Amino acid sequence: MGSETEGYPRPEEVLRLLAAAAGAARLYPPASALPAEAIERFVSRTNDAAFSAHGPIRYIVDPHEFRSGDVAIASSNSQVVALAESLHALQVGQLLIAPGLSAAEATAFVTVANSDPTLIRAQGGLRSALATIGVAHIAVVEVSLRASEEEGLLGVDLMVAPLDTIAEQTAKAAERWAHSEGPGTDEVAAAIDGLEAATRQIAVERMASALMRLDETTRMRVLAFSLKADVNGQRMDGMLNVIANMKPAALARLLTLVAAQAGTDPARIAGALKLPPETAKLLAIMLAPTPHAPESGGVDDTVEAAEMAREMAVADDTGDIDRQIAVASPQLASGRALATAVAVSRNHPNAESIASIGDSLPHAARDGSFATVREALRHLDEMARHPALTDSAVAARATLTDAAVLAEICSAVQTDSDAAIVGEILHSAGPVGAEALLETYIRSAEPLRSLLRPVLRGMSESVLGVARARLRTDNPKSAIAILETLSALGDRRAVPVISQALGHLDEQVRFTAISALADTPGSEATNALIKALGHSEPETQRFAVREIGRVKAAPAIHQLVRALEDLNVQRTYETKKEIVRALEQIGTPEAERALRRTADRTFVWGRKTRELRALARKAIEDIQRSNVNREGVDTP
Amino acid sequence: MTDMPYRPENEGPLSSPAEIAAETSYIAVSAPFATPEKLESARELVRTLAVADTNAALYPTTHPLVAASLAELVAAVRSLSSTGFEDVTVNIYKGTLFVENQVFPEESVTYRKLIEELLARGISAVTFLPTISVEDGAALVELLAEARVTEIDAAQDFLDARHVRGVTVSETSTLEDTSNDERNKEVRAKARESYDAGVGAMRDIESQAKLGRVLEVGPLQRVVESMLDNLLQDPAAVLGLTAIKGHDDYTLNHSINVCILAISLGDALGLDRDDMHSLGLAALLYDIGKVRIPEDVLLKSGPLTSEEWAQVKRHSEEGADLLKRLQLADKMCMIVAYEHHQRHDLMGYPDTTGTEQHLFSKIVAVCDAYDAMTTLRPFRREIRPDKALSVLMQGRNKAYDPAVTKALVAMLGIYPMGAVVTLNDRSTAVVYRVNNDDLLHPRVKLLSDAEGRWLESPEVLDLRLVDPTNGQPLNWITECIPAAEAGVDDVWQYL
Repeated sequence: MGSETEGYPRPEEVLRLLAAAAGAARLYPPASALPAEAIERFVSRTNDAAFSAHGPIRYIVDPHEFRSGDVAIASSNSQVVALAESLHALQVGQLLIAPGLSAAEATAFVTVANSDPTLIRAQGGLRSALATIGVAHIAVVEVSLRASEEEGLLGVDLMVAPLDTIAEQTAKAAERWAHSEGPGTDEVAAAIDGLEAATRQIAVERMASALMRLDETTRMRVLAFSLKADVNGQRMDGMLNVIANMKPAALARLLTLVAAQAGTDPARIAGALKLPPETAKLLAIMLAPTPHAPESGGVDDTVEAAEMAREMAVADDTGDIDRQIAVASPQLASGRALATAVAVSRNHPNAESIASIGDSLPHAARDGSFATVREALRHLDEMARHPALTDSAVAARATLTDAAVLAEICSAVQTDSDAAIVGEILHSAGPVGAEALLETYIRSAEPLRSLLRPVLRGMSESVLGVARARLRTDNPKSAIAILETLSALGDRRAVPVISQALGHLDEQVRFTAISALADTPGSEATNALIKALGHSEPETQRFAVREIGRVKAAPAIHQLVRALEDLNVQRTYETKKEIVRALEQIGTPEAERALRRTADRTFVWGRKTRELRALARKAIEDIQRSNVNREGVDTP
Repeated sequence: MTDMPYRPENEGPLSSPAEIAAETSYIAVSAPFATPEKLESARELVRTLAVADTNAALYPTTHPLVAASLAELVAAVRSLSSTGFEDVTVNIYKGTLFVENQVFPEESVTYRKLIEELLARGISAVTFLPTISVEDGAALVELLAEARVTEIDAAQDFLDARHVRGVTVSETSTLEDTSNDERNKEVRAKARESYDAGVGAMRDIESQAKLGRVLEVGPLQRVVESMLDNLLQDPAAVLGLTAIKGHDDYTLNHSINVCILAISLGDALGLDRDDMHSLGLAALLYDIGKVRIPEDVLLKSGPLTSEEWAQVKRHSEEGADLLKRLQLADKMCMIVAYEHHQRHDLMGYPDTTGTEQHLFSKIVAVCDAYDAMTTLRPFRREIRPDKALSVLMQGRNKAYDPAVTKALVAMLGIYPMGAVVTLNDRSTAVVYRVNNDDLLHPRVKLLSDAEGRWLESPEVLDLRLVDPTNGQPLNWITECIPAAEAGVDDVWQYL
């Protein structure tokens, strides 16, 4: 069953359990099982293997809270606050809890901590009380310093004394050891052993820190003295233990300096220290006579900082950085990603690497990295030849069949070369490619259209299939755009598709179809155009006549003349006027002859017929005038 | 003073640290006067202030000479304002004259009288606003001549009584923004949390890579996000983390350090946040391919055989292979892993088709080299930071992109944050903050005295401060030493 304190950091969990135990002892009668259970939980967690590996926990006791460094611990927990207040009343500044704690010690501590503070203080304080009842794994550091009757290091409270004081006494202790005639007195060991178990490691660490307050020469002497054997061949192990607890780099430097002075290897001196495994490992690296980094080869050991500052001052070779930043965005690196994926796949030709190409292909194509895309497609073709990879390669290629992607690809074309690659991609994609191409062409402006036109022509068959379907379903605006596109194809195979639009309900669509037929080369288109003369809508008929005139479609003369000579002038008057203009525009002798038949008619009646005759005469004059002009130009 | 690292009078056309700073600071974004023109404007401001002060001491404020010098002062302020300053402050810090954060050593001597008069009035900072008028200037020089004013409140009252709106006076305790100390501590703690989280996340990723599992980069993305948040709040707190050198978990710490250096450099270069996120993630993962290279080859202390070298070189491609299918918005992780050893001159590996490295790959390459060189490894010693930067500078146009390398040096300083240095008095210090306006003279924390006694609490020293009698630095760096050799553990704790 998990405890209610589980999940807190270790110091907080232990503190909460101790506070709970103290609270239980205060609130429940001795006969109750609760205090003992609380003690049991506290002791069990304190001695937990995972916890105990970290050593003692140290808390700073403030009037109403516990702290670890600057951080308050469980300050909202009322039991913890109560314990802090109790300990503060007992003039406790620090609380230390060490692994190895027994239930008896914990119970005794809780009992004393819950006692009348005045009484405890009168009896010499909490620390003294704990020592009396044999509590070694819970220690306290009292705020008021105890006066010691002992001298030297033994007279210093290692837990609270200033580091400078400890340093001074430590150096003296080492000196006394070195100069003792008989068996040496290891004052450091004695001082440490005199402390409660819970405080020993902290005291050692404080002494190690204190060594750093000595000047370097004295520090070296302390080590050298400690290594000196007394008459019994003993070294000053207590001091060496302190030195072993110095921080690794500081220790490495100390060992190196002392070894250099003694003309020996620092690793030999390190061998005299009982080092924690981690420190030993690190120290070995620091003391190893290893070479400098290979990257430094050729660089003078003395770096001339001013020289470097001068080099920095030269504003050279920096202009390129703005360009690089401008194109650094990962969104612009799709082509590079694809190239990398292909390179990886060449060395790792497997389904996964091919799939990664598939991941990158659409992005690179959208980005306009067409050369890389072509390279990738070639690679996929190669991969597809391996039976085991065929499916993967096909799947990777299939990423380029999405209509939206293909449309973006079309829009990314910037050069003829791009267009050629896009043509390949669209062709591979089949009708979807044609659809995307048609749609992009319709929507784009002339510069892109001119780049896409060759692609469009290269795929006219697929495009026509798409166009045929769309002309049936699309709205007039779209239909007009499609017809304009078909006109740009210049492909006679487009004629049936365009002609299909002559039956469109929208007049403008029909007009566009007629223009498209007029602009499409070949007899098929002309025939279709002539056929439009017979359209049931007079306006469409007239538009067809106009377009015939615009493109000077001579094969249409016969049909034009038939319409012109239709007797029903009242119904077809406007059409006939257009025909006269068209014949004039065609301007061939045959057209002229046809006009002359109308112009030469002598027996006419009605205003409209007379007007037609006059128009025909004027048209003939214009043809002749333009012929004369042309001859004049042709014959200077 | 003979062993000073930099003697203005001995050098070529760039004769002062300020000039050098001005030249280099096109990338050092924190330098207030990033162009020679701005620097000259700042110098002109100090000059005109000093001249106006001197003239006002000799003649009444109505005298044409005083009026002319006040007009020059106003013009100098407006000239600086026109270069983008909302206001500009002349600071006196420990007897040295600064405009904003820029030290003016020569002016600290030349305009000694001005400095003394300001200090005598209790003023250590004068802020000029673009709205300054000749009358405001006249009031200021009157104040400097007014011996009865001896403290800052009286000085400000003096100006207020004359309805001065374009000039304010105040006290400068330090050029650093000390009011943000608490916040900076908090950011530092958060940055450390992110760092440790990053190490944990990288450990997980390495395990996943070794076991051939799908790489879960979510935790790494969170680490990068957190680093970026911290970077925006306190760049120094983040950059300082690179002083953490894990000896046991070298590859993990190294990856995080490269990530930090890379995003800091990206920030200095002006990349946007999304790009920096992408760069940061790529910088964490660029060396992941090493999990596929035998450890005995990677950690070999002696020279590698050609076969072993070929194995090591494979790590770029292997890394790209591992990262190719990460489901991310972009493929920069794969790209950077593949390209980071291709070198600027494209003479590296894997073979290239002539396409230059992506900017991110160049950034990661230079940051990788810097952190690797400055880290102690079982098979080689570390190089001290200034030398590592010198190596990189020499590798410009060869292994490294010249602009990116210079940007790194401009960002880190010639003596980067965390560098352990010996000062002219033989004391040992750690570089605490780089002064972007003066790369040779950073702020340091004194660790031990000349005899090797460690100080109870490190004292911060700004090496830009000059001797008021000769304009020369009061303290200077004589040598940079590897932290381990100096006996300094965990440099980060001092930053």
